[in-house]
Amino acid sequence: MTTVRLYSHHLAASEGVVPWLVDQQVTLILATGNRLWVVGVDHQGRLEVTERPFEGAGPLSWSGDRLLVTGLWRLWSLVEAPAHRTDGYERLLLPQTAHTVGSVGMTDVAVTDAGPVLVSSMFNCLAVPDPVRSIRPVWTPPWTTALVAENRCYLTGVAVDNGRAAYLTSASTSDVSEGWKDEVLGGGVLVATDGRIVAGDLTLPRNPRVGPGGEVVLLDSGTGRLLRVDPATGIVEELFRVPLLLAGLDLCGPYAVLGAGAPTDPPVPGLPVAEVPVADHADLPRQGALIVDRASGRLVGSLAFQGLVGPVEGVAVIPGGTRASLASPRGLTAQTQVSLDAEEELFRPGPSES
Amino acid sequence: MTGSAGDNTTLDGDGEEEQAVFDDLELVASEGFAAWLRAQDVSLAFGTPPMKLWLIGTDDAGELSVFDREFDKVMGLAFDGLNRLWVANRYEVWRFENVLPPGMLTADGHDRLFHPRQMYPTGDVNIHDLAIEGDGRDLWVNTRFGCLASTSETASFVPRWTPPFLPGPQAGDRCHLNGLAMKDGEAAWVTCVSPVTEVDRWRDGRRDQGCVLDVDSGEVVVTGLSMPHSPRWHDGRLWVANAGTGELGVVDIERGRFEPVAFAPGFLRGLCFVGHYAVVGSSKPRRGDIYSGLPLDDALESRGLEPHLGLFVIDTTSGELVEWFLVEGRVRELFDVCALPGVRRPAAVGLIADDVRSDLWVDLTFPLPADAAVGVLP
Repeated sequence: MTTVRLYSHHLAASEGVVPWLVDQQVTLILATGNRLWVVGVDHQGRLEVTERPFEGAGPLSWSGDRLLVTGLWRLWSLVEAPAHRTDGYERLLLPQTAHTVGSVGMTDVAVTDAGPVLVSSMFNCLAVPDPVRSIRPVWTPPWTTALVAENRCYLTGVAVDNGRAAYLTSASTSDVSEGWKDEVLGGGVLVATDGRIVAGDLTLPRNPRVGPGGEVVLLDSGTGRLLRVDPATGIVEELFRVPLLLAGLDLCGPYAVLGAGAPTDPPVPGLPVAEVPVADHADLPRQGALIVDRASGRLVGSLAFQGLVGPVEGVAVIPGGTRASLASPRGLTAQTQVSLDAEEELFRPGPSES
Repeated sequence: MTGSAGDNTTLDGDGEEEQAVFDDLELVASEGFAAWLRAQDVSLAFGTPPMKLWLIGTDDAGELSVFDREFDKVMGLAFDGLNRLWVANRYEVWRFENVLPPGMLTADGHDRLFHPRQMYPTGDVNIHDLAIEGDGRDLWVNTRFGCLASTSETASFVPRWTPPFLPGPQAGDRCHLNGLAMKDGEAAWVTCVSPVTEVDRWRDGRRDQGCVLDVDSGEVVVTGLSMPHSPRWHDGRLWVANAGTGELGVVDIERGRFEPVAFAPGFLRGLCFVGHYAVVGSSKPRRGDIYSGLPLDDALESRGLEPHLGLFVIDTTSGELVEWFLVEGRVRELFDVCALPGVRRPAAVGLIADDVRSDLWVDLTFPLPADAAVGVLP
């Protein structure tokens, strides 16, 4: 177990974490409410953890060249800076734009070919940032009969397949205000954007992701499970189970990285994970992340926050090295590491002839 | 007659000057300022660093309506004439959008509600003038990199134009490029304090090396100015604030001459036009700072005047200073002022109070139209 001491907290990593990060050549980003945590491996092969203040940091999505970060009332886009502007970091993600969407209950975010999409639990819809208004709804589930600012079914996630929004998770199929709370036990579904309900009997499902074979991998947060769903047959397979509430999921090759929350404080009472005595699983992180081999269901490694951090709400795996870093919007790096967009031709008038 | 931050306070005019206090800043308007705004059917937006963005309009009774928000070092501003307001600040460019449909007022009677809809971090590039091109794109003076630039979704900025005497966009303020005049929706002229290539060397030319450059040709249109700012093309003439002399004037492009039209007590920077009136911003030089040691010092002393921070309204037909709006207290800089024609009483959502999170504007038309772009089909 490696423990990295930070300003006010500790992050303990199990032995499997560093070799896994090195093997995969990835850096992990975890969001815990008001911070982003960057977990990598330094040149000496030691665990390297940095924390960045980030107001309301929640669900995350890495899309190949940028990291979407949901903030308290904004959707941020962090883009990799050119090599000459990385301030000594191997790779540096800089905040490049923020869209004011307001507090619409962003539970997940993803990038389609047409740009970012977000799930608004408050408006029970999939939406895009609007140039003028807060958001522009683009899809509502088939059971919804009105577009209102009431969290009815509790939409919790979106998966993109081939550049398009393909699947969403919902905690229920309720069509009345806050109705999901009465149906959360077993009332959750995975629904395709064509309206087809692919799988049911879920308990607070979250963060669907499409795997390399077209399968849907998702969290069943209320039962602490990682699931795989065959979208053609609707057959649900349990890959991994843990007595923790789960939020935040990213896939990395044959692995999945899961965000873990506190089992003693579920958002609604009666969730199955809350019934598991904590003492039986003292080795598991109360708040942190789990690296799971999807093929075998083996827990490859775990990261545990020790101290008052708050549950993990977002997870992203950044490929291309173990030393990626990112800049906080208000920090000195973001203010000083200026990057030029040289895509466009610069107009330079010729020297004066007079 | 006092108000707190973000309040839409109305100043009632019962004295010769109208006064109100915002966060220890005292606002002093000339007696006819509100009536002038009303008569011109206009309101004004400007900033006073370190923290204020001001929106100045009039209420139904014709009294001044002052709206303030906290933004870090407001620099250039631009309004598209209808609903979009761009504001550059210390490290960011903000795009505000009016969310009120035409004719609709807020509960408080504001006829525009500007939401801070999108923010582009630019880093520390010292943005001065900001303008809107004909196609709606933002274009601004990146003073630290000596270029004209636009916002980018993937980088701090996109360099668009650089003067011929500079090696290209690179960090280090060489000539103190600061002002941008648009003509027919395109960049036409810029101002710089001194056309030199060595970092920071512009400071040596503050008294008389300032010039206006033609953007297309890169040639100097007029030189010999003292810290010129805010070139503007208005009604067939190129106006410029010769800040270091306290003069607002026009450029005779043919003869390459600056012709003063008016003097006002301050370092004149920030300029917009309302009909045949010019609204010019004024900053306060302080001994030893970048605005002092200029011809303006003598011009003030010989007239027995103190410099002021605020706005002066100048009748361009007579050169007469007709109205003013001053901000007094621990502020001394003002970078630009922007007219909002046809807007009576604007308001903006700030970043501190809850409304930036909770004031949601969503089209609730249902069912939704299909959006194939994100994969959502009928």
